[in-house]
Amino acid sequence: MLFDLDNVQKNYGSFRALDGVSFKLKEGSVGLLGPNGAGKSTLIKTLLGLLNLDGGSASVLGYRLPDEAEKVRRSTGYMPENDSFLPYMTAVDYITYGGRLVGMPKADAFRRAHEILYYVGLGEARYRALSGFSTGMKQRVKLAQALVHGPKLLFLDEPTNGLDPKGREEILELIEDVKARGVSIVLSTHLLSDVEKVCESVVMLNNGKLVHHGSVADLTQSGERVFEIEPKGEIGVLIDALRKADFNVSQEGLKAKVIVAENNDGQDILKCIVENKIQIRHFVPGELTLEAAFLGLLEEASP
Amino acid sequence: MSIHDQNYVRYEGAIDNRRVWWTIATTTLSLFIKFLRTKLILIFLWIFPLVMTMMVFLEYAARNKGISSGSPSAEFVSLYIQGITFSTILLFMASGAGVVADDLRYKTIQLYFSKPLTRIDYVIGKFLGVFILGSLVSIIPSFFVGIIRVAMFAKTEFLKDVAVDMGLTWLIIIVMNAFISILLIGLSSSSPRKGYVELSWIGVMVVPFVLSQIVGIATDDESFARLWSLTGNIRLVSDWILNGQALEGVLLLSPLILLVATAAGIGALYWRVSKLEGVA
Repeated sequence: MLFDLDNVQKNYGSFRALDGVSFKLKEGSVGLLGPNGAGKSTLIKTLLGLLNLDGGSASVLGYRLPDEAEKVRRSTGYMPENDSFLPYMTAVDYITYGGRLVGMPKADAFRRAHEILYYVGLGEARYRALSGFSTGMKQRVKLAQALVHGPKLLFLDEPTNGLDPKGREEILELIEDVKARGVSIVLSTHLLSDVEKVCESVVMLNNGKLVHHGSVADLTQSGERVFEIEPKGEIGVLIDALRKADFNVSQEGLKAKVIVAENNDGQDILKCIVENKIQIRHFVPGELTLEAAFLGLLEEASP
Repeated sequence: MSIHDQNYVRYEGAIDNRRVWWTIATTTLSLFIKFLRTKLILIFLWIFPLVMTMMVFLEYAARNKGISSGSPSAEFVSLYIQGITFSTILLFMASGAGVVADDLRYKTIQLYFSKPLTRIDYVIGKFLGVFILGSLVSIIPSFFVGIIRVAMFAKTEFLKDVAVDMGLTWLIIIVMNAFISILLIGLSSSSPRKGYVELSWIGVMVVPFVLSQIVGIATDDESFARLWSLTGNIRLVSDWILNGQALEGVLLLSPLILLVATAAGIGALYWRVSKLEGVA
């Protein structure tokens, strides 16, 4: 079992960062989704055993938290979102140090640092100071330090942040390769396409509460369909009208996305638009993407 | 196309993190010594113990020639301790301010606390890294100076006194190095900007030393003047231990200042580490 969380609660003063989060996940890769302030970072801190719980219970890889937090961190790797290295260290020193902090013998950590740096494509740059690394190289060196001790589970916080499309593809390819070798992944990101590409399941949080957990396939094939509508006039008027008629609608740029039941052909949406005398440019039935499903779930969860 | 040059292989070797604090200490030390300015200041600060070693030889020569009475100089030890303390302060001014500040600035604190180590491991590791750095200009040269001085008095009736004095001196320097290291870590925990830490170090350590010298000259009262600076306080305590110079009122205040300063350093570090700033 990868995670077993039961009614996990975490408060910062009077602010409830995690509010009764419960889910179980078996091995595999999971996307951690949610808007800013949803509680993703707090959940990662909690799962790494860095924060004491204010309520509930949790275990990661079968280790109970917080009693076995060190065992959790020994079996997991964490790739932070931002840079977390001293710029005057060389890549090989940094990775070796990361390995030694986990408890690897010096010689093993040094040898392993070379192997991992070659694995992430930084073999030729391993003796260069980290200050001279590009964004893509920095992301890869952070991934390398998370992998050096051979973890069973990887926490990846925005691994493709700031990367150009090619760099993003390369990092995702690496992550998929690691995953294919039996390492479970927790991917915290705002880029839902990354989650679709790498993860089999998702955990969605909003305001510290669990909005959804389950497989990506279940979410995108959940017996619902989506319609994209672009009005001729103000988008707000259209959205207000659809919301008044109890449709699950979200705004995406100048378009409204309406999620309806799978057997709904959209006639009732059109009827609503006509009744409100709203002119539209486009009315296109589309597939329910993860993004649309995510926005729909957030909309449902909002008070 | 694959960007990786070789496949990922899971590590199956030994893992034992019981001495991770030592890994942090040695890495902290090696990162300091990597800088040229650290190497240069270390060489520069070894001049003082070398000069004091020369004085030991001169003391020996004067006794052999019958110029002096042959009894060991009481001033030697007090001057030596104060000089070594100031050397340690200068070393930490040039190198060491970033011991925790750099971890905060570059967010490497995330690296540490995502690994299976405790906050105590981190604190001990950082402390030892700084302590060993400081010992390069304090404890290690003092050991050699002490051995040489004891050897110079080996065939005299003062051997026992000198051996006890140098042993106590060495202990005082170890304690001095320990709490100056704690103070440095405390100040370094107070800001992610290394420049601010260096400035505050100068403000807390160097400026009071200069002021105490001025006050000492102006008031012609060295004991009172020494209360103004940490080095002066260390000298007052060492005078008390080594020479039994009881100074009413002063004696209570000096250790108190040292204890409060050390406690403030520990408190600052504890606060910073407890916050786990930036993790996740």
